[in-house]
Amino acid sequence: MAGVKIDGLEKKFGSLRVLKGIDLDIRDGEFVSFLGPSGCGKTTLLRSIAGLEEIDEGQVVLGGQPISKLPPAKRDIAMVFQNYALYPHMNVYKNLSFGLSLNGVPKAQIDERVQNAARILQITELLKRRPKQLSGGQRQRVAIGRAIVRDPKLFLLDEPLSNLDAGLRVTMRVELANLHKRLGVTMIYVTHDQVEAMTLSDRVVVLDQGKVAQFGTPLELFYAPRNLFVASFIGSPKMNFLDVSAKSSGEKELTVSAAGMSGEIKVALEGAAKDVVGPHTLGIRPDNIELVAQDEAHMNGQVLLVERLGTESQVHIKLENGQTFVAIARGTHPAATGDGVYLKFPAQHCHIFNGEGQAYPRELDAETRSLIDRQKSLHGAAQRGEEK
Amino acid sequence: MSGVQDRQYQRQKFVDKLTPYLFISPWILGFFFFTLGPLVFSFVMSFYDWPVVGEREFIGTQNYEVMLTQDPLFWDSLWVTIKFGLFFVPFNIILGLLLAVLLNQRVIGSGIFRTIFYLPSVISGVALVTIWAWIYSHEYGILNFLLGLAGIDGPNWLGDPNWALLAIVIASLWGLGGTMLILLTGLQSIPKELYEAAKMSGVPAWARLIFITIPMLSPMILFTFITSIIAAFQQLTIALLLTGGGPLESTYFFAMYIYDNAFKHFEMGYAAANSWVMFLIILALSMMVMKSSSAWVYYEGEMKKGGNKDA
Ligand SMILES: Nc1ncnc2c1ncn2[C@@H]1O[C@H](COP(=O)(O)OP(=O)(O)O)[C@@H](O)[C@H]1O
Ligand SMILES: [Mg+2]
Repeated sequence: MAGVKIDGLEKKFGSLRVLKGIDLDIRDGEFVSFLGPSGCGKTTLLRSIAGLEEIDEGQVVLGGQPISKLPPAKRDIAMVFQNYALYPHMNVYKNLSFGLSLNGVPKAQIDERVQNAARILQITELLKRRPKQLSGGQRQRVAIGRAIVRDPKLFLLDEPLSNLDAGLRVTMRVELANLHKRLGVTMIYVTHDQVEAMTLSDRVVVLDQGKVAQFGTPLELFYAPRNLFVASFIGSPKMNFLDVSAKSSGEKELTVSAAGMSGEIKVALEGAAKDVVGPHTLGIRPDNIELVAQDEAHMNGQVLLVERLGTESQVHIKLENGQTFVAIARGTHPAATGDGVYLKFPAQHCHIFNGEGQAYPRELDAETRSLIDRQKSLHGAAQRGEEK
Repeated sequence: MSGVQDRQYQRQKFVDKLTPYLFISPWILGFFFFTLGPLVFSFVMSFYDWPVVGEREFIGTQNYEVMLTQDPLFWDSLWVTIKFGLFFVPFNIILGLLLAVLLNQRVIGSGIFRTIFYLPSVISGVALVTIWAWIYSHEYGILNFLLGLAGIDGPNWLGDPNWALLAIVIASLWGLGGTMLILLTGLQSIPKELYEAAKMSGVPAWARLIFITIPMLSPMILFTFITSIIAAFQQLTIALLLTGGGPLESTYFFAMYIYDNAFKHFEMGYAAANSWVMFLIILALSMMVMKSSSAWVYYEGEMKKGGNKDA
């Protein structure tokens, strides 16, 4: 078991810079996800840690030992591939034992490790089968089993659930979480699915075009996104954005206004924001927009479409400036296509981003603050054995 | 439906049914006239005394009896061919595999090497033989010249009964580009993650070759195994032009024996019988190889009998 420290990692394919200076400090026993849109470099970063890609700059340290120059086999890292990469001509037992038997592990010990992994993953009855004779979920287990038998310092998983159907994905997600708890080993998990990242991870690395956009706990990413990219990537439906002008109106306060907006919004910040002035972006999540009476509203618009999901209604609204906003209203909200509606943006839910797309850390309410703090400390607690 | 419409519909249906057959008709015609026809014809011929000029006469199985009991050349040429095959087949596959593995490495210029290795396979047999005649020439040949530089007194490659067959094996292997290409295609269809997974769990390169590459490639190897056997039995051009069967009939191949019976001695019926024996031998060998394949060939879609099928 070991933490992973990455310093200034750079990777190019030809002239294409894929990873542009990655710095990460992953703690021992942590479950960390790499999250980002397709093509942002998640797989490349994972493979660089594994040693399957040579890196151009920087350093990878595993458990205090620099490993960037070691061949993959010497790094004590196991990887689960997206398409499982099971040896199709070997049965499950051979798939699990193949690596071990070629590394001089005694037969009795191999058998013990294979049986143990099979028991953990509940694939004992499948040991004699070939991969072709297994369902997707079973193959996934075997692929994970192949990592478990090696008892590595670090698990790498590249979109391990993406080939499974939706139902199975949820089941396997829970099993993965349990497996991590049981093994207590550091795991890095690549996914483009934010639900997986948010539910499984202690912390999430959001990658944007080869750079770390933010590294934080799931709730931090959601309630305190550092920049426009994270704000728009995390959350579904997406956060709504509006061009506004902002200026400092107090020690820790910004006042925003916009064309077509009645009144101003005063947003309280966590830190000082002096002498701020000029064009900014206001962000607000769909479930924070309130549909109100005309006199309380900041903006008005016309309903384009109402999607009724039962517990909620997703109302697509065309603003006067031509932009479309999505607001979430209660399931039985009477809004209908063509209706005029009035929108209120409660100040405590507004995110403000400067011209470079960086967020001003906003003041969070006590409840949110304490939730985020709890999530931050959860991992440490689990390590000390206080959690359950 | 009116009568006219009905007729039109029937006609359209007939045309629709006919169309696919029209599309394959050139192949079908070719097959009947150039493959099946001669096959049947030669089978009939093999029961005749069938000189090129003069009366043909039905003689039953006499051609076969003579061949098996009274014609030492039959057995000698068969033995030469088998010896040739014992060298040619394994080397063709092993060298083809090694070349394919080398070319499959991502190195600069692998495309050029691929072309170079494949080039001999597209050069005409006669040109190839001319080149080899020059290489092997006892006094002026480049091979013996090079051996001479190393202080070795090279043998008379084509004139010495001990060396001539080997010389032909080597010249034949010149064309292993085809085998290489088939195996290379196979190699490139093996998912690279299999190797990466193996690398990560510390499986050394030789073990990756033996336990991953070769099993994954086994269907291709089976294919080249069988085609190499067939090629070995049909070996004619190189020997005919390079040694003419000599010296002392040490390179007198079975195919040459058939050729001579047909076009030197003009015994068409006898040659047809020879051909059918060759066909049966190749068939038997191929079937043996196919039979053994269930033990060593891994097929992608296969479900082993006896395995659990309730997955
Ligand atoms: N072997 C390679 N050669 C060239 N470009 C590559 C290679 N692997 C990945 N890339 C490029 O690097 C970028 C990041 O790829 P990848 O790490 O696979 O993204 P992700 O896993 O986040 O979808 C993409 O633009 C991809 O085209
Ligand atoms: Mg990827």
